[in-house]
Amino acid sequence: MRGWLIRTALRSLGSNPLRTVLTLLGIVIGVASVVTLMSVGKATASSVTSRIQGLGTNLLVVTPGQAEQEGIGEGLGSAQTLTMDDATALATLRPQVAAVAPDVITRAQVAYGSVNEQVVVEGSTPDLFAVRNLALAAGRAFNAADEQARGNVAVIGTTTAANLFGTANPVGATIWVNGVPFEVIGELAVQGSNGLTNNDDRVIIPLSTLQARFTGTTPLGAIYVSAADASQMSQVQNRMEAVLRRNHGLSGTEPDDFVISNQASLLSAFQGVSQTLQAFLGGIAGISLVVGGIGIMNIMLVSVAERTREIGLRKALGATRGQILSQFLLESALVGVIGGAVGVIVGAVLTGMMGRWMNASTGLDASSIWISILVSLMVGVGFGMYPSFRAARLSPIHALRYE
Amino acid sequence: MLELRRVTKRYQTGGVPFVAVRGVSLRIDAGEYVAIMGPSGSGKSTLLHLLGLLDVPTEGEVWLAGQPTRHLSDKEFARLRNEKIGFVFQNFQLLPRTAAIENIALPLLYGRHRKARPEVLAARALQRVGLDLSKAWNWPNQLSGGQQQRVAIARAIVTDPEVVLADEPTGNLDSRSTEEILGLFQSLNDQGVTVVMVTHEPYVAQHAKRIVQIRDGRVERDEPVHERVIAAPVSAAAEFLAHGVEVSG
Ligand SMILES: Nc1ncnc2c1ncn2[C@@H]1O[C@H](COP(=O)(O)OP(=O)(O)O)[C@@H](O)[C@H]1O
Ligand SMILES: [Mg+2]
Repeated sequence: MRGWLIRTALRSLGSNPLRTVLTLLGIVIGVASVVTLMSVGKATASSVTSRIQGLGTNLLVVTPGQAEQEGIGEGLGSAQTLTMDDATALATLRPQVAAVAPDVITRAQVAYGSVNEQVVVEGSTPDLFAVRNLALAAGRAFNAADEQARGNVAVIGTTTAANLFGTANPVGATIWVNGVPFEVIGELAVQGSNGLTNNDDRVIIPLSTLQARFTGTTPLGAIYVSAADASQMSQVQNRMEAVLRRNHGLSGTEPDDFVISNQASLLSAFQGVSQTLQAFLGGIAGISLVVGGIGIMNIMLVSVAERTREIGLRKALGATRGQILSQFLLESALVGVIGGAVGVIVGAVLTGMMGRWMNASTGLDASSIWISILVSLMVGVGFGMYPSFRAARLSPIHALRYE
Repeated sequence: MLELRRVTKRYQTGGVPFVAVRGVSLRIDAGEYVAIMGPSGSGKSTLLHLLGLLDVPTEGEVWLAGQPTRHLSDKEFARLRNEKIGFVFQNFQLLPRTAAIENIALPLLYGRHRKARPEVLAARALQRVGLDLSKAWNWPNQLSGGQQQRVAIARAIVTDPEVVLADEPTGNLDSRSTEEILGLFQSLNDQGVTVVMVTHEPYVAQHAKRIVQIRDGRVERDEPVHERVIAAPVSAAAEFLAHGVEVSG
């Protein structure tokens, strides 16, 4: 009986292959987008999380803007209130503060030989390398002398190095940044991507050079500070806040016009954003699954109408309502499961492609596969329910007389 | 064994009620061979559907094996249709693109028939109706009208029902196929199966033991057949001959 039911369902699906494929397509697209968005989102989140954790427990990041805006990291703040003055003032907190690195980010056209590309150019002080744990793969970082002399020296990321130099050693070569020659003195070790930006595609130069050559005296995007003692974070943070408030001339009741984040607050802010984003993406993908389900329902209704005579005949020969119901439910469940399985495969391929494109390691986890197939089975059964009930309720004689 | 008690069937089409069967009482005993005759539209099919539990009366009661059927559940109706009654529909009603043997086995999928495997029972029914096993995997459209009707009859008897109801079983057939089908009904009746067939051909009706004449949804006449024509029952030899003629002709 069971084997026969499946054979009947497969035969009926096979009798109109084009229609079956189009119905499947709805589910395939839905499941594939759920799988892809979920796993890419997950990979992004874990990559960003590990990068934030890689920042180290004693890092404090000052960004411009109001605390209510929950600015996390570069450029998210709206007010441009941080200046070199602030960085200098924070440096007076030594020895509680180990290092202070003011930071400005801009974009520039970087050229070497015939290669020419838009790259992120970051200007900072030598402290940046220590504060942000930026290790070098080759050459050296710039030092206080380079900073003072506004030297035209650059440390470049591995992606930038590969783009400009291929496999050749970039250290010692001269690159052109917006038409200005810079000597490459170092290459960063691999930093990884956070899914949205590739941290290996950038050029780091002294802040003094950046301001003199390109941007002029601009407000800072961020000030990175490392505390001398990770167990004294909150005291350091309080003192930094006091210094900056005084520097900005804020009176007692005025709110801060800057935000000081540490690893924990960055993590929690990111996780909040990431969860919202994932729920949003999941919701969009879910809608496409619902659309796929409506496709199943539509086709099953057509199928019931077309096979009215067959249904009547089966009932006349002794099929119960339950047996007709299960025949049609099985059919739509099969569409759901097959569509779900194909969707998972398509989603896995897409995820792999996205991973390569974003330079992030992406992977499906088993749970998202099972959940997708289970959900598409439920979509199949759910949307097949109404057409199947209609089929089961047909009276044999009405159906047999049906033309 | 089958009984209609003052049965009325009313149809409601577009607000206009139409009475297809008007207070018919009819009793069919085990082992009978009954022909229901009447002009087109007189309610013969409706009557047969009511007897076959395919439809429910608007008024009155259908009794089967001494039991009223009005309050049976969907499951019980399905089981009675499956086990007690074999129905031969007007125009064969075989599933297209489905092998003859699978068409025949269809009722076995819906009941509990544990006497033998469905394939075995279906093959046996195929042989009982005198159809060559080589036709077993033909689709209906690869069979002649007479052969399709035999497949339909095989499907009706595959569950060994007590009564076979046939709606114009010779309606679209040539005289030789008609003869074969009537031979089949004769053998079934000889084996103790109750046979009820609807026909509008007097010659066909003459093969039954009793003729019920219907007009405008009422029984006009109901009498035994005096000068019966007995069709030659189906045998392996007859099938062989028929088959041989088919091939040479
Ligand atoms: N589902 C239906 N709705 C309305 N009228 C019907 C329906 N089925 C049958 N009829 C009518 O009932 C009458 C009897 O039909 P039927 O039993 O098929 O007659 P017969 O088989 O004797 O030709 C016909 O006039 C037919 O139009
Ligand atoms: Mg009729």
